[in-house]
Amino acid sequence: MTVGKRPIISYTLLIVIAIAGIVPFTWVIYGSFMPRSDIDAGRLWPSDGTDGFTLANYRLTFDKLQGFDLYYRNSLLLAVGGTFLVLLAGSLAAFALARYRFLGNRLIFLIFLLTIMVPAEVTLMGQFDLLLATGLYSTLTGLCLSYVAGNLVLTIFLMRNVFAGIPNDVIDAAAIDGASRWQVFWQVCMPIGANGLSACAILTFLNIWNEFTFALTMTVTDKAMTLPVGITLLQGQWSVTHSGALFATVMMSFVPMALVFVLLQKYFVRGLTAGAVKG
Amino acid sequence: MAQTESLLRATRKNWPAYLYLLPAALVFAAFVIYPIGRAAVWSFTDLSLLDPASARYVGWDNYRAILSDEDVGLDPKTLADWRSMFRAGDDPARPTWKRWLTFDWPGGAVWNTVKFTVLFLPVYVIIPLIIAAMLDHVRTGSVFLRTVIFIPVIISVAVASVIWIILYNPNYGIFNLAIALVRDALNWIVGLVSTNEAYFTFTGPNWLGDRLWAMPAIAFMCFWNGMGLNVLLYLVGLNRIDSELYEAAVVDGATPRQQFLRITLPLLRPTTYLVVLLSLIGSLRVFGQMWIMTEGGPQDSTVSYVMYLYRVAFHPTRDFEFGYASALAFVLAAVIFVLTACTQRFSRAVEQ
Repeated sequence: MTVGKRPIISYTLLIVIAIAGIVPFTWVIYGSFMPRSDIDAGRLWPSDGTDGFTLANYRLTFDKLQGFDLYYRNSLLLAVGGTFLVLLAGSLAAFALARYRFLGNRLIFLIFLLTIMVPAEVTLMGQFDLLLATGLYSTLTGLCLSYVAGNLVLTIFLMRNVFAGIPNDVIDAAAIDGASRWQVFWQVCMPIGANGLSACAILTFLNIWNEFTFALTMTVTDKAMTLPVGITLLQGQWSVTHSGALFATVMMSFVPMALVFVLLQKYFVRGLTAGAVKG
Repeated sequence: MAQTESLLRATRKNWPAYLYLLPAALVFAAFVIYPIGRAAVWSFTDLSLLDPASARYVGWDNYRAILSDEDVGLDPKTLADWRSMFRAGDDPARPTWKRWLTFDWPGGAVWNTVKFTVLFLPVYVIIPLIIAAMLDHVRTGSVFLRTVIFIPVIISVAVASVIWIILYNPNYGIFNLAIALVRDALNWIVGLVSTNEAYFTFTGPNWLGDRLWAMPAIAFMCFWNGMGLNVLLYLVGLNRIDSELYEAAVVDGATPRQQFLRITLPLLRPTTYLVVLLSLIGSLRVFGQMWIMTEGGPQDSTVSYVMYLYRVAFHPTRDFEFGYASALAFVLAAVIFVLTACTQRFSRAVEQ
């Protein structure tokens, strides 16, 4: 509004901001192709004595993965599996809460809602103890259950709204045609709620993919370690032993995610908007 | 769904609904309700996980201990230090105004979190509003600009921290290389008129290892990492404003500035409350960034509240003090609850 009549100024400012936001990525990508000796010497481009831009850093990173592939695999498994479980359990519960009258309906929903106010740090110690006691400490199963529990409420809340918004006539028509409760849920309500579901899926996936605190607390071995925790370990090792490999490793930790985002940009933004306006 | 039938009859008919709820309820009960309950009980005991058998009930002692814990910063000694910050200091080398400006504040996890919030929150709330207002007016290329501005948001806290450890490196980080470039350029200019080839010798600071710069550096990284989300929230809010209002204002001869102050800002208020509340809660819970980038250093000046909680519960230098850590967690929960309630109350009062 202030800038409505001077689009050139806002364009310039916006482009500067956008570039500034990208610089950290490009700096790491650029540096990952520099010879190590030039990085350590603080040069801006390869000096005359070296071979110039090189793939040596990547060769070293792939030779000594040090768990990098495991971290990636674990994060992917958790994010995909966790999101699937959250959507399934969450929309089942949302369907029951939205479409059926039964004793405790309101109370159960209220309990779900109240826990939104409780910061996750409160559950950290209890979950740690629970996982130790059940032998699930430092396993993917344990971490997955923790993530499912932590992300359920959002899906239940959003999908309950979606399911409650479906006209009664639609449900009744299906029932008259002889659809069972399960068929009403699976073949009528779920397809109608597809947009809401994809929003929930994106938000849950991002949450699990990015989660740090619980992953740090609940894992000790490479076996169950996720990328956010693993990358900090790799950072610690490479920054001492080989700055070039550090650049290459960090680069490989964000480029795939950034590419996926750029490709699916439309859905991401829609999903995040849906989640953000819930409060 | 006949609304007239009694609840009991409806329950009998709809009993499979409980089956539908079961998976979610089970996971939720085990991993959210039960841990909250245990933490509530633990917070009144002196439980240490190293020796759980000897835990005993201590009443409110844990909560009282928070008020005398120097690492938290609400103890009498730190508070006295705070009081002295408001008086003219007797140390001429370190007058209080200098302490305020250089963020040499009395220590403790609470005050580190406050320091972070003061550095982070205003920028994090205001700049995205300006960016969103500009984006809202741009037509061509707006999708591209939005995408680019939003990219840092999808980068996780851990990966973002690692990226910025590289950027802040005193040796090959981008900031200190830029400072070195400026220095060399200045020296070149000086060299034109004098024989002194190295007139300027300044170098950039060790950002994350310097008591003055560590917290601002972390706050700036957090701003970069999360700003796009607030831009998005503001854009959603701006979309809801009826464009006819602006047209009417233009007819009435309102300047762009008046339009922004009289239409945009008031109508954007609900969004602004949401952004402020979410950002505030986020900055009170800040942890990973400090844990990864500085490990709380230098001299514990970047130990946030949650990081202190984590240290108490899980750090090898402490004894897995789950009792005390639970009390710390509940205090945080209470603060967040009060802030949320206040914002709700306040926003409702303003709207009426």
